[in-house]
Amino acid sequence: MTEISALPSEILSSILTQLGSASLASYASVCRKWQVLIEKQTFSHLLLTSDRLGDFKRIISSSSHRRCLIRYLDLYILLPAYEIAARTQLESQIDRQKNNEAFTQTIVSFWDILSTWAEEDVAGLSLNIRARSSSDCGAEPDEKKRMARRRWGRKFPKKDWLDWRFYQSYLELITNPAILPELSCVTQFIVTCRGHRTIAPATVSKLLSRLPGAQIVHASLSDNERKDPKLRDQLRNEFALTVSNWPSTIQHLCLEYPGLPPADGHFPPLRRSEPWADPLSLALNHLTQQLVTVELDKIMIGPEFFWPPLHHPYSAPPRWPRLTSLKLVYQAVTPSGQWLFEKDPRCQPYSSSQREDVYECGTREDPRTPAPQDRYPDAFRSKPADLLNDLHRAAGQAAQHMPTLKTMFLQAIPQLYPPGMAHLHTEAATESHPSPAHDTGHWFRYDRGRSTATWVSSGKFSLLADTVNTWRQVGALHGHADFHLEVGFYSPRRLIFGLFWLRQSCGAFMIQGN
Amino acid sequence: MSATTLRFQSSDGVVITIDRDVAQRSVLIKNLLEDLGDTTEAIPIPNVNEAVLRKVIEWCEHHKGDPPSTGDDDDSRRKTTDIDEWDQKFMQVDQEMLFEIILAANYLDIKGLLDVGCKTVANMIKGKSPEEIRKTFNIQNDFTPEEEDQIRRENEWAEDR
Repeated sequence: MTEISALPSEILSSILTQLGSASLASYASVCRKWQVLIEKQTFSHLLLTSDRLGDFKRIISSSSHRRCLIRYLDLYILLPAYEIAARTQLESQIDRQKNNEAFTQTIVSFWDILSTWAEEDVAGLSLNIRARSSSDCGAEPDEKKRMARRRWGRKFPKKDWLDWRFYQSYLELITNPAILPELSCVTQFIVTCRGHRTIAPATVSKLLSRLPGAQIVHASLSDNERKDPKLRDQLRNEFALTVSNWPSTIQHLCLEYPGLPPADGHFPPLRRSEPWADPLSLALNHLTQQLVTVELDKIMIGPEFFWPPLHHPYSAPPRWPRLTSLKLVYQAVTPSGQWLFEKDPRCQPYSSSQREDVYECGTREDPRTPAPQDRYPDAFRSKPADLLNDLHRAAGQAAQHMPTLKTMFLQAIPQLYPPGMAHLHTEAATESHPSPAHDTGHWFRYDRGRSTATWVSSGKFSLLADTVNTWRQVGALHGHADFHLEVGFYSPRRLIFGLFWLRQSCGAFMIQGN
Repeated sequence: MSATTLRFQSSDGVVITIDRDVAQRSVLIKNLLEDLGDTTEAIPIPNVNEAVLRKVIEWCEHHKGDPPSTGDDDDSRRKTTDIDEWDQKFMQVDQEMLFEIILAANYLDIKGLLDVGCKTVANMIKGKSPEEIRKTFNIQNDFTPEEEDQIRRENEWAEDR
């Protein structure tokens, strides 16, 4: 007699997968065989809010087979709740301290639980970390209410500052990371700040230093402190200092670290470091040499990320022996405070009367009042400056030391507005002053498979001879018999057709390699 | 020129002649023919008896015009447990035959038939309590009442995400 018990586990497992999204829990109690198959699904992905850690410890330790089933742990750290009335005030130093305590406490408990697991129990665990208070506007359970609040934005209710309440708060681990036991079972580490509280980047480094098996890192952090330059530089410099503590096992990095330039194109950007000496760019230069794939998104970075300046006292030239793919989306400003884009002759900056139109006046203590560099948003900088050659030449020098490189993609974000100000811009966009997010840009792609290096930009980019030569050498070193360097432009409002147009016009702009 | 029909021998020794393109719904047989080339010998199917083999052939004949599966099975599999009318009727067999068909489809690597079989079983499970499931499929309860309760609660906890 052939019964259901005759089916191989993988078929029974696929039958149970088809039961759909409804709860599988009751099927686990049919018999022990079914329990194992169902728990492969129910225990593969666990949500661990701070208040569930006790249950987690009990349920997981009660049966050791469950540890091997876990693939993804979503550690959602709950910060203390607050009254809705508190949204009319900024977080105080005491509030921040309490948040940091809650954050640290949850981290310590979680690390303790996982440290009791035997190494052979788990392999290839992904750990996601995020934090929020249940009172934060973003966590408001009534979505309709939340959306309405967002829509009303600045206008209503006057005294609710929504998530602006903690706009200058950065969660920190307030204990020596050495007290955290090393967890080698975590191979993928994810930090989610978007839509959640911002975690100080150095804290991410501290946590990573206790994950000696990490291979993949996905982190969305923020370099976008607008009003307190001292705090902004402190967070960034601490990050730079601590990147060296990241484990040497990491192979793949995807880092989003937005640090937008001034929204006002007239504004001189801050000089945060000496040219060619930005600590974070240099730290990332060092880190990426061990990596296989790199993706840096919206980051403010200098050419020293690719190649140190000539007089830099490095012992040996940098080398990326395993790197296959590099994607860098960078800001229009360098950390040393230089604009990488100039005024596009086709774009007229606002006249002084227009400037006043777009700025809605706020009070000093209102957190939504723009910082000085954002007060008169005016994104007229869309023409690539000659300075951009430094970055592209350095990238070429680096590519000559990337023997396994397949693709390199570099894209500039000319000028965007800081969070909460985009609406000012949309309203202000006109024919003569198009929306920069869509109509301007500059990108470069090296594609080893197609033997091409392509530059495309809005506004004329003067590619200097030594930049071209550097990339020619890349082509020669990577063994291309027929290497093409292409340069093209796209004009405002023709973005969709831009690439096609480039292909058509390649002949005119193509610089043939040897 | 390859022969248009092939002969197969079931586990209980019966030889059945089948159209070549019908037989090739089975990936196992398709690969086998590629390795063997042309053969007039009866190909033994050691794991499948005559009754089951005839059922499987019936399904393959009905579905011989179906487009070949595209390989991205995850979507079509999870989205729905809907079964077309002909297949539903085809699957109105006793449990023993149902599981034999699933095993045969798995052995012969006929994805479409395996899917229909799995969906049929899934529909028999859906909405039933653990006790009803055990009764339907004659499964021994190897838990104590306390264990059963605890396992259900712990799985509910794990699903809460």
